[in-house]
Amino acid sequence: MDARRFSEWAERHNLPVVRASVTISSWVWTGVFGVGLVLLAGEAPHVRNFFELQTKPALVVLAILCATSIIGLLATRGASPNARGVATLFGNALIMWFVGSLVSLSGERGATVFALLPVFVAAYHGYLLRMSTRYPYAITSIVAGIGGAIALSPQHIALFELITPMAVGVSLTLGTVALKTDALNAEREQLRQAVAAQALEDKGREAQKLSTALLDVLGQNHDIGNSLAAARVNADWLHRQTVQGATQPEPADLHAVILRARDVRKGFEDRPVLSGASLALEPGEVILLAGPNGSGKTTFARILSTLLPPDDGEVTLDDEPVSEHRALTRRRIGFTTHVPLLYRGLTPVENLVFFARLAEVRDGGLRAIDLLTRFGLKDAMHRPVANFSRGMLQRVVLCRALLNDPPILILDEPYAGLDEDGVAAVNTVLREARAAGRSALVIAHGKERAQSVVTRTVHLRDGRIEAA
Amino acid sequence: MILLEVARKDLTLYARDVRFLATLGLFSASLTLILSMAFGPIYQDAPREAAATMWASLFFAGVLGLTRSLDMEREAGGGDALRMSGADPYAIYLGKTLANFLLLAAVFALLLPLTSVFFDVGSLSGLPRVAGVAAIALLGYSAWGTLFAALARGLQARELLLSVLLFPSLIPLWIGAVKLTHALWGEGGTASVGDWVKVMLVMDVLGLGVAAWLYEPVQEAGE
Repeated sequence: MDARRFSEWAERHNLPVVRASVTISSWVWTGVFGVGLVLLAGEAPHVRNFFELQTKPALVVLAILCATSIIGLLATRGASPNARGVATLFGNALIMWFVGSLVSLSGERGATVFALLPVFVAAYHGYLLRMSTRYPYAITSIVAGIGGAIALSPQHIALFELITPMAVGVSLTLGTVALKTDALNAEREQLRQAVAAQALEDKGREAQKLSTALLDVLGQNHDIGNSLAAARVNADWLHRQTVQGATQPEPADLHAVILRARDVRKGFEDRPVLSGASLALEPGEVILLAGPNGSGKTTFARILSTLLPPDDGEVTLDDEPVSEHRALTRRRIGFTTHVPLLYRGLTPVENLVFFARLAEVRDGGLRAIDLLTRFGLKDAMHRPVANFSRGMLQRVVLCRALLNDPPILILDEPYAGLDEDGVAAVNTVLREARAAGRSALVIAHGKERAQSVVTRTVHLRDGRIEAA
Repeated sequence: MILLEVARKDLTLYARDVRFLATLGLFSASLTLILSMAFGPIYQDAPREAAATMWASLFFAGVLGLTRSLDMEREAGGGDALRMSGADPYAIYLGKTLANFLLLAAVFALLLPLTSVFFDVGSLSGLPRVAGVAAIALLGYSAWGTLFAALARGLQARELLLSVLLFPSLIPLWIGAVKLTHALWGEGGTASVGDWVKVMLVMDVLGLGVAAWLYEPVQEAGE
């Protein structure tokens, strides 16, 4: 009978006797191991001398055991309860076998084996990083630590010999019971989640049907759908602004600025990518930069945003070369590109707050929450972005670009991975920017998604920018 | 304060990467153990061998930390995001140096008792002085290491190049740390202690000073 069937059966019958039998079997294990260890210790006549001579190594070995156990405890998640249970039982058995080997030896050879012990334990725990459990190791660690402290006093060696097998036994018992309880709870939780997910899926399907029908009624026009979604996002935003008093950042610079590239050239390893590209981004403009793959769009965007220096030519912000005012220029540009420019180990809020503080945005935390809510990430703002889908990640990326409300936006493939709501949110941002006299350069392969917001379209061909 | 924000961010990322911490801890502890076995069980000059073992383990393990620090800024464009924030590059450098220093200090806190026990050297009363030596040595290590990690960021085979660049530069720090620790544990050989402290302090100041001058261009050219 495998763990799943066993758990289902136990759940179905809810019999206390099942758990009792698990406990009893654990005690049997405990008894076998405990008695075995005591016998081993009793057969080792030199054990007292050894500990008296080697109290420090004894302590350090136990400390390493504790440390590796705690590492195992922290690092192990998600393995099946059955696998964890088996691993735990054998793990404890293995550790005790080493302890038994140790106490049956003496003198220098014993010391060498003692010194080797942490290596084996560390290797074993390294293996267990994939499949182990929390409770038995936590308890074993604590008790082993107490044992180590007792071992410091030679007169308490006998107590140490007695306590160690008892402690391991107790840890085995508690651990096994905890595992089985975990298994039952996990099964129950999985079932509950499956039912909830099914209900949610049904509701989602109904909502999808309704929205499709609504779009059909409105003339089956894609733009209308976009506009509706945008209007909804706008309405939410306005509501927060007026009713909840949502925060606005200190603008990076209130006055409109002109970002201009003149005759920019750039090549990589003798391959010219840009050969005289020029473009001026005027206030209130939203320019779509199109072009085939490899035409140099991203390179041009990186040069405009000061991340990459041009080989020749000049980029200016209000006629000042950006290379001379790099920090100021960067705070005036909201930039997104193919890589997220985020830390995957941090949550969206942590990422945004960090960058807000670096850019000295006032009330950065509130601004971050406001943006994340606006982009539909309210429920995911405290999860590490490493677990995000492409679309969710793209929304966080856009939030980061908008964090300090910059007068210039350079968005490289902003629609990548976004659904219709996401596209609408981006277009709303661009409309707002245009209305506020700010400017934006949008880089995309196709112009369909951005068509409703751009003021002009340009193409990058043969390293030069041409009007569409 | 940008310095503290960057340090906090790096330390948070270190703390959440359990595999990295496990690797760092086990690697440094194993190295100490293996070296202690190689020198032992009967030591010729336990304080000297213990000091050399501890600092060798610490310096090698430190490269793991620096490599992780380097990867953190590469894997999702974090380095570019830092640049685009417009924050003072030297403050960013100091923040990263502080985070690396604290990480190395944690490894030191792990290795010190291990070394002390395996070689039966040191005492609690001597701990503050050893910690002082460690503070000077690790500050220099972090200062130079963070700079070299930024330099290696845009290079291929960067992990290899980081070690190749770093270790020769850190020889004065490594020798100084070993000599001073040996003197503290060995109750002798204190004649040149003052000189080595000066050498290490000069290395620290040089590292921080060179970075003030070089970090921004290195950061800009590193991608």
